[in-house]
Amino acid sequence: MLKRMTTAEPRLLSLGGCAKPGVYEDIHSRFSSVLNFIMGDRIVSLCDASHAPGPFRIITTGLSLEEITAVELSDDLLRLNASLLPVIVSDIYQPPVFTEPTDTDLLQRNLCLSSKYLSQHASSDSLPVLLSDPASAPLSFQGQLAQSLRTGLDLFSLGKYREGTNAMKRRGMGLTPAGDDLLIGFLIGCSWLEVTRKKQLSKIRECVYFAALDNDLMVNTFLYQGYALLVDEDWVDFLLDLSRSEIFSYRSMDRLMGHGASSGADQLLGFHQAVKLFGI
Amino acid sequence: MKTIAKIIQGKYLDSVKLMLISRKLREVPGVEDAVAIMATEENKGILAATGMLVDEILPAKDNDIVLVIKGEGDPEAWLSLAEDLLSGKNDKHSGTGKEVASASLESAINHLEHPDICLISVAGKYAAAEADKALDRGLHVMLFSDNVSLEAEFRLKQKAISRGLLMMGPDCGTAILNGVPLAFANAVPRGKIGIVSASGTGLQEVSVAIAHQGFGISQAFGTGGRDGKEEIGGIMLHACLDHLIHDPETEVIVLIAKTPEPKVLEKLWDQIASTPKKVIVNFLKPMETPNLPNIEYCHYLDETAAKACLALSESSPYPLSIPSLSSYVRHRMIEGRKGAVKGLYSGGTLCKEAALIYAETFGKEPLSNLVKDGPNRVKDIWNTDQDCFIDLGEDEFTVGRPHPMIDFSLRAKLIANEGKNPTTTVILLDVVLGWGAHPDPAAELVPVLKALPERIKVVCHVLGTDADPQQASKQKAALEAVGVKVFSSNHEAVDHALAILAEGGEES
Repeated sequence: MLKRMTTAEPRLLSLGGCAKPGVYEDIHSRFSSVLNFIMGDRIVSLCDASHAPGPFRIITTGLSLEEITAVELSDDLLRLNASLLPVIVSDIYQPPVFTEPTDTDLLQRNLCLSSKYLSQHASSDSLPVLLSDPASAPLSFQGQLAQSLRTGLDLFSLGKYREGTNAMKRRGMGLTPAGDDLLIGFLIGCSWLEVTRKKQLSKIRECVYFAALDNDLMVNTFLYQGYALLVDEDWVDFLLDLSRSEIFSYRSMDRLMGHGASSGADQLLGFHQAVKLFGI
Repeated sequence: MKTIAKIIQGKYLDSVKLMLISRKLREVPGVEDAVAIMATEENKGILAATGMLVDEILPAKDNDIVLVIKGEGDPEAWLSLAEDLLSGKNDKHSGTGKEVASASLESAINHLEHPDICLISVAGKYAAAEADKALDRGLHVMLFSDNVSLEAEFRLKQKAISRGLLMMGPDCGTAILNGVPLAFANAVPRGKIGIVSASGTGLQEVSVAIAHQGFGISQAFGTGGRDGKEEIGGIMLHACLDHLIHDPETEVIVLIAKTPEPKVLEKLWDQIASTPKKVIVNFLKPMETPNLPNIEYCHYLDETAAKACLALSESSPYPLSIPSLSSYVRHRMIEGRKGAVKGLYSGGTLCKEAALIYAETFGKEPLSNLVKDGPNRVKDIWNTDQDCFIDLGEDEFTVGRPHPMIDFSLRAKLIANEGKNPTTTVILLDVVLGWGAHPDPAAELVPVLKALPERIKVVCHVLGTDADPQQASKQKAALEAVGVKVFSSNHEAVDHALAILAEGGEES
């Protein structure tokens, strides 16, 4: 008979740099691979290893998340129920500071490839597909949703950002409604263009962010991440790939498009809308 | 028109589940529209505009989920189905009473009586650590994940060998151990033929062909595609071959791999020379082998299976056949050919075999994504007028999305795209059945194939048995009903596709 061990070995794989020291006991939502705790007006997510590191994520292995009821975080220790996990500096996740790409032609080409890839590979339930299909039955939920979101994007193109945001926020399928995902991606696009292309978009970014905030802490946390460019590792890889890849690999896009049912694709659409609107 | 709705409070369902529920409800006959959504004021506004905001859900709060179904029929039946979907009762992977969902390896070990193997499928960056843990706990490992470094693979395989354990993978998609199929594998009978394979679909193709001939499998080991490389040294190829040599249940051995590095190859020949058992070797291309009495070499998968069966046939009551080697195609004049063939594959080795048959037939390599660079590397799979073979299971298509044996959406788009390509004459497909694969591939393919223009012929290899969950004959019938020419061997399917091409688009 093969040897059986019974000692659990939980391990911390990544600690988001935005998770503040403290005790978190209020659970916002619980899934098989994610446990969302309330941290003030944000959410800190305790995740298993299937998730990419992120600023508000604590990634662990060797733990049954179903059994966790509280998280206690200090500078050098993470306590999950009775398990004490040491925190070392190299485990702390911070997104990089994005720099200005040197090769604008390469960036432009990769943005085009990425946009084309999104339209060809997004799932049928996602906004890139829904918004590209003019034949959506107008009296169906999805038809009406598409109409609202198109209105929002039209308002954006007219410079009416608050009204555009109001036409899109909190609308759509998914736990994070699709319209919110689009806005999150739009904010990421604005922040990224400001940092890497020196675009003056701070007023627009603030306008969209504050108009999009609502009473769902999960959505608000994602919006903040877009607003402050505090993105997870999959987004980081995508943004870096745009400017550094001679041969655009699509891998980071594939990973992003695997987020949620359509969240990643919807966010990518928002990102490309920002690029389309403000250029590089 | 009736509308039924319900508020679901205090329950969080992830987006994937909400989407699936909405989609499944919309597929119910009579249902015109259905959604399971967060009850935000804005979503309620959309529901109002579509006549779906009914009184029952007006009190719903922002964080509640609402379920709304509209159509003609039996609303109570819809609601009952919706509740089953919400509770997971319709989930095919639950409800047996024997399965336990565990959130960690440790928890799984504690739930099982005598676990001895661990199948790992997590993101590549964490996979090696999980495999380490499993080996430390005395478990054999099948590492389905890829994106594991060569250094980690070597270290893990050394550790496994030092403990007498298997370490199959990384990127090991198929194995059948003691009659138990793991990951992508088919329902084949137990028997006396043992397989060691560095190729997942190669193993499936050969094991299914053996089953079709009335024979069975003792053990089928996957090693991962890189095992024969110099950096790994063929650790698992040697170990698994050694096991089959000494296994009293195995009388004939099949060895499938991309051509291993010379040192690995030398040791494999030594191992084969040490046993009287017949070994059928396939390194997926023509090559010379040492002059050993017990070696049979072939580079086609159906021929490999047939030779393994033939080696057992003296006492067999079953009729045997070795496939013809596409001679009728090879010798055909190709000047008259018109149009292009597009091979859209989910199985890497099947795609490689198709490209090999093409090259042997037409004397040149086709465009494909099987090569990393060079003139034969396809530049844009959405826009090529030339013959082209695409392995949709390559990393470039699978990172962050399900394997094409599970998710047909990309292939469906490519098929539809080829329908608009005036130069495309033949579309060649594989449909891989078995555990782990899509529950009904024909249902995914038929709508898109029906929409193709008549000038395009479709040839398909259905890889599976009638004992597979999808039932090969049922899949074949569904595809044939829309004019697809179906074959049970990849080799035959490719031959037929190329023959159509040589005939200028007309089926012979």
